[in-house]
Parts: sequence; C-alpha cells; structure tokens
Amino acid sequence: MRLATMIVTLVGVAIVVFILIRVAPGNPIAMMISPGATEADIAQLTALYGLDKPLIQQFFIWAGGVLQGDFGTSISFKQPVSLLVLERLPATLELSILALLIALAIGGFTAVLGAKERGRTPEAAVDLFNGATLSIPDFLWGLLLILLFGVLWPVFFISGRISPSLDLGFTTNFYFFEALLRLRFDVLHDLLAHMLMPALSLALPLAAIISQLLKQSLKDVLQLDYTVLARVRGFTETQVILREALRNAALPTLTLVGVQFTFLIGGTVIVERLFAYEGLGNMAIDAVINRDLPLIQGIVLMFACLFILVNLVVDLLYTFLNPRLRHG
Amino acid sequence: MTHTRRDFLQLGIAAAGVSAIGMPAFAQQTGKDLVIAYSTGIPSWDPTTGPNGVSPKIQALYLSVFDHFIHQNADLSFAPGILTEWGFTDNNTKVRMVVREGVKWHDGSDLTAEDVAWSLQRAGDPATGNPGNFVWKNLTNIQVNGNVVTADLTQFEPTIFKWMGFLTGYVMPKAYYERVGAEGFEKAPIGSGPYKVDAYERGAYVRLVAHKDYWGPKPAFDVVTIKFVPDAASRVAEVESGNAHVTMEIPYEEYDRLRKKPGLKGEAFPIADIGMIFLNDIGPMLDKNVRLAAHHAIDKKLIVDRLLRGYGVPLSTLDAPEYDAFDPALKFEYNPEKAKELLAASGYSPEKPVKFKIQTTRGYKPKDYEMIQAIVGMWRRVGIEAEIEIYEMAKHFELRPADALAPAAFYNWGNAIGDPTTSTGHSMFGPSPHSVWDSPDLIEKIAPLWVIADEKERVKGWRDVSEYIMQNGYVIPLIQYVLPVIHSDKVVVPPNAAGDVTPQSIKPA
Repeated sequence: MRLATMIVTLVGVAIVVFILIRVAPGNPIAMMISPGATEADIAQLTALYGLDKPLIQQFFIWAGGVLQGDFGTSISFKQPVSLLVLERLPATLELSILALLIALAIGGFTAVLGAKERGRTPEAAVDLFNGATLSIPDFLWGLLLILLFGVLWPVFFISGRISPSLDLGFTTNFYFFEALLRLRFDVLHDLLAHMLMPALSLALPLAAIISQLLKQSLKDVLQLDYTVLARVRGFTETQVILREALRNAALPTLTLVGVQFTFLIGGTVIVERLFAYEGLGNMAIDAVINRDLPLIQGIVLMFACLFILVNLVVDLLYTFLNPRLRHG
Repeated sequence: MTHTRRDFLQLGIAAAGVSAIGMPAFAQQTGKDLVIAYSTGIPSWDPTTGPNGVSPKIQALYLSVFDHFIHQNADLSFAPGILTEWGFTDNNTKVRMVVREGVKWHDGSDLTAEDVAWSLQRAGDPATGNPGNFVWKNLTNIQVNGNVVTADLTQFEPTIFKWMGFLTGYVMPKAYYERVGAEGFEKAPIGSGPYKVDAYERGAYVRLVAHKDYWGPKPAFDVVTIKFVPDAASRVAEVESGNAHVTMEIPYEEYDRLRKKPGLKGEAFPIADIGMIFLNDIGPMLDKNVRLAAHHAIDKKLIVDRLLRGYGVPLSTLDAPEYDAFDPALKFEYNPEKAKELLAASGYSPEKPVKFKIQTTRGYKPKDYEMIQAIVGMWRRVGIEAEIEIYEMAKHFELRPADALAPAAFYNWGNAIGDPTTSTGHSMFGPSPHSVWDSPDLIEKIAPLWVIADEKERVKGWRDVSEYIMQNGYVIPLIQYVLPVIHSDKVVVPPNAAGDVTPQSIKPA
C-alpha cells in the first residue's frame, strides 16, 4: 500500500512538473537564439531538442525514457540528467544531514536547558534565542555568517565544497563519508571548513523549532507521576530529563523534525547558491535560469524521492520509538 | 556580571577550536598562482554548441582554454590569431584564410588547417546545434591546401570574419574530438589557448595551468583557479577576505567601498553592453510625438550620476563609443519642455497623460528596475503615465521573437564585436526575430546594408540608419554599462571592452 502511494505520488509530481515548466514563461530555445537567427534557424534548433512535438508526445517520450532509467540529456550541461543529479545528490545530502545534526544538537541542548531551568532566566533566554533564530531566514543567517566568519574573522571558506588544491582520489561523491572511512583527516578538515557555515545557516531555524517543541513536551512530561517518582528515587533534574523524560517527549518532535527536514532540503536551493556549494539546489537554479527542461524535471523528481524517503524513515523511527505502535 | 578566568579560558578554547577547523585565507599571496571568483560556471566544455555558446559571461572562461579563429583585442579590434590572414576573394563569393603554423594543442599535437576547416564545417552543420549556425552555414565547399583554407559563400556575409572572433567562433581539435567523442571531450577538454584544464569540478571551480607551448604572449600566472561564485555578496566576501584576487560584477556601492580598502584596487571600464528600451509599433507608439517625447523626457546623465554612481555612459543611439558606426555628432537632447510640446501636439498633458505599459527585469542588470522607476517618474512630469510590469529575462526572450512585447520594454543588448549589424541591425530590422519595430520605412532603409561589401560605405550606411532611427524615435537607447572589477593590489587587471576578464590578461603588479 505504502509503495503504491509512493509511486502514485511520483507519477503525479512528474506530470505536474512536466506541464508546469512548459507553461511557465521562457523556453530553452529562446534563450539561445543568437542575433541573426531566422525563423527557420529557430525551428531547426527547436526540432533538434525535440521541442517541436506536441506536449503529450513529449511527455510520453520522456516518461518512456524515465521508466528505462533515461531521464534525458541536459540542454546546458550536455550530459545525461541522471548522471548530473546523482553527481550532485551526495553533496546536498551531506550538507542536509550535517545541518540536521547541528539543529538537533542546538535544539536539543537549548530545550533541555530551558526545561531544566523552567520559569527562570535561562528559559527566557532560550525563548529569546528561539524567537530571534526563527525570525531570521536561512539565507540571511548565511550572509551574517559570511560577514562574521568569512570576512571579519576569516576562519571558514565562503564558497565551494572542497579546496581545489586537495587531491581527493575518491571513488564516490560522498566526500565526507568517504573521508571518514578512509581516515582522510585533511579532507574532513577542509570539508568542515567549507560546510559549517551553510550547514549552520540551514540548521538555526530548524534548531529553534526543535527547541521550542521539545522544551514544551519536556515540560509536560516533567509533570507526570513517573518523573516525580524518579526525583524521589534521588535522580537529579538533569538525570530525570535525560533518562526518563526525553524519550517520551521526543516523539512529537520527531514527527515535526521529519517534516521540517524536508523543508531544510528545500532550503538548500538558496543556501547552496549563496555559498556556491556544488549541490543539487545550486544546480536547480542554473537549470531554471537556462530553462533546462530535462534537468529541472530530473532535479524535481529527485527532491520528490527524497521527501518521500524522509517521511518513510520518520514513520519507521516513530514506530521504533513508540512501543504502542510497534506492538499494535 | 563578573567573568572568571575559567570563562575566558573556555572562550579562548572555543575560538581556537573554530580557528582549527577553519582555514586561513589562501589567496593573500600571489606568487605564480591566481584565484578569481567568477560570476558563472562552465556547464559544458564545448564552446560551439548549446546555450553556453551564446552566453556572453562564459566567453572569458572559454577564451582561457580555446582560441577564436581570429584574435580580438581589448578595444574590440581584430588581430591575427589562429588565422594570420583572411579576406574575401572572387568578387566576394569565396573566402581565403591562412592558418598560423607552429600552434600546439594542449595534448602536444599540431593545430593544422584541417582543424580549422573541420571546425567551420562542424559549426555550419545544423545537427551539432551550434546557435550561430545561421552565419556559419554560409560557408560551403571548405577546402584545405597546405596551411590555407578556402570556402565558398552561399551569400555574401560582410561580418563573417568578425564572427570568427565572436560567439561560437572557436577552433576545435578535430583528431582529438573524433577520438574521444563529445562525452570524452567534456571529461578532458583540450584547446590551443593560453591555459590547459588541470582540474574541473562541475559547478565549483576549474584549475588551469599555463600552456607552455602557447603561440601568443605567455600568461603571467602558472596556475589559475577560477571559483564559480554566482552570488554577488559572496563574491564580495571572497575578495574582501583575501580568498580571491579578482572578482567582478558586484554592486557599484560595494565597488566604491572595496576599492578604498587597503590591499584592494578597483577598475571600472565601459563594456560593449548597453541598456535600452525597445519600442513596439503598437498602440501609442505609433505616434511619433509620443515616441520622441518619451525619449526627450529622460535625463540619462542624472540616471548615471544618481542611480549608477557615475558608472555608465549615456547613449543617444544604439552604438556605444567603441562600436564601428558610433558617431559622437549624433546627440539626442534631454529636453522635458520639448517633450511636453510634442505630447501637447498629440493632445496629451500631465493632466491628460498618454498611457502604456513598460516591461522590465528586476535585478538582472544593475539597477534595471530602479532605472525604469526613475524614467516613469520623469515621464509622469511631461504627460506620460506608464505602468511597470516586471518580467523575467526568459519571458522577454519568449515575447520578443513573437513580437508580443509591451509598447515599451527594457532590455540590455551586448555587442562584443562592435559591428552595427549585431546591434542596430538585428535589433531594429523588422524581419529579424530580435526586432519588434516592423515599420516598412525602416526595413527599406536597413535591407540594402546587409550586403554592402565596401566596409566604409557599409558602416556609413549603418550610421545613417542610426540617425534615422533617432530622429523617428524607434527605440530609446539609455546607457552603456560599466563593468566593476575589484582586485588585490598585487595584480593588475586591464580594461576589456568586450567585458572579458581573462586570466591571461591579468598580470602581477
């Protein structure tokens, strides 16, 4: 049932994207007409890229290719779309996962701090931090971080994913994971110096959301009898939160994190552009500017797959963490 | 609040931790290396096919690896390059070109006349998808005899040699390309230009190393890293932090701020790119008084001084000073009183304004939207009420060939070879898909100019057409753009009228 829903969703996305980008203003041929081109020259170029055929025929040609793993050829990159998308996907995934980890760390820490110090100044400080963090969008955080850690105190790289001078010799594009496996600390060091600012920009708004929700859940759980019992047994407040309350309080947060993580992946489009990070999002903007129709379709389908996958993982995790669902 | 020694110690450890992860700026020393933060990337390494072939921004990157058939100087003039001699023969029905000897491809093989002939044949083959095919297809029966290449012309095309130093006019390696194929070429491109591709990370950077056997002046830097940084704010940060030696296409405000900073210098030079307002021959634009009034009412100098901080050159015709048909005597007067008189003659006034729509991009070119806002304000004072519609450049490209632009539409036109055909010609000749002004009188005036063989007569003809267009108000030329370049004081960046800031043109200070 779940698989069928996923397939229907992907087919729906494919149809909507295919139609939307063709009815949107601008077409790739108009973008490449040079001065002096006649109507006949334009018609010739249009035919060369197969855009002279009726829309429905174009769709079935494309869909037929997709079913065989051929997503078409990018007009601007002149490479198979599947190759381009798979080449960039690891960069976006690594950035998104790092951002999620940072968001969980900051959000978790501030939530625990706020819950522990509830009703006191530290909780007010956490609320203030969350409010401020949430009210600033990720790209503005990016600009601020560039100013702080790229210009005024230049400790991080402003653009790119890895230094051109580094000799990688890696077999995959999962540079971070491969560097970890190969124990290439020079590469890890360089990657972090490139990724921390964009990851932090993406993470801060999500951290605030996690913090607010988790703190509230913790405060609710901390009023339940079993936490009172834990205190009676001599647990400190921190122990009560970490050992007893956190697991139950985390469940609603987990669902939210799943939804927000998909937004975070969407946010990579702007943040990757700002930091010239060579991920899917950055390429998506180039594809839209050039009206590279096959590439836009490929990227959107990949994002759709990611969203579906994230939701699936969240559901599985939820079941794992919630015994009632597991045994039900 | 008091701070203990432990607080400061913790702060110090945190700072040291961040510094340890971070990297110091690596471009502050130059030596033999150069780092450029460039505004666009290289999607594909074939400079003759697809949309990249006609993208002006990418040409500077292509020119570091490939050679045009004919070299173009920084002032838009042409000079011997791969071709050392070129010209029309047999009463302008054939062309003859002499190929330079001793030129090496990056793989060490010789560049021959066969390469030149094959490159021209390939460019003229519609199946390759060369967007400049309309000009290259005029060359047929391409023959090689020693280092001489000859070809027949299907029709006389006076600008064909200028196109050999322009978009898609690159010499490609025949033997290598045929051996590795299109995909192999994308993976390991070679050219005959001053730099070889050493490493390339799509969407991130290209590392170039000097081509030791280059036929022309040897580049000053052995290694050049070009980082693709599309966001202007990030490019500013790159150069300000010392992570790049050179960057360009930044806001003029940032340019003025950065050029005063110690260690940085600025160059701002006019380029072959102009801002203009297309007038479509529909509705109120059919009235000559309205057209001329709309032009007379615009204070271009004020726009340049106030909006562009002085970085721009007001224009009266579509010819910038570097173009072949530019005539400084052709001046269109800023005269709001005259604008009012003209409008009054057609029954319009500030109280009873003529109304139309003007389309513009927002953020595509520096201050484009703001410029149009200012113009609409100037128009309002004389009796023109224009409604602004913001559109994407892609939309403009779709509307223009369909002749569906609004009565007025802002656009920027680039003409890196400075020929009048590639500015006034294609933008104002009715049958061209690039023109929206289709009046028969102008078509009649322009049509004979396409085939005039005598260069002086041809340029004079276009100059006269420019004057005719100006007198009839068929278009509103606005300004010539100025390219701001910020660079480390350890390097020198010379001006380039085509706007091509190439690594080979940059020298140590």
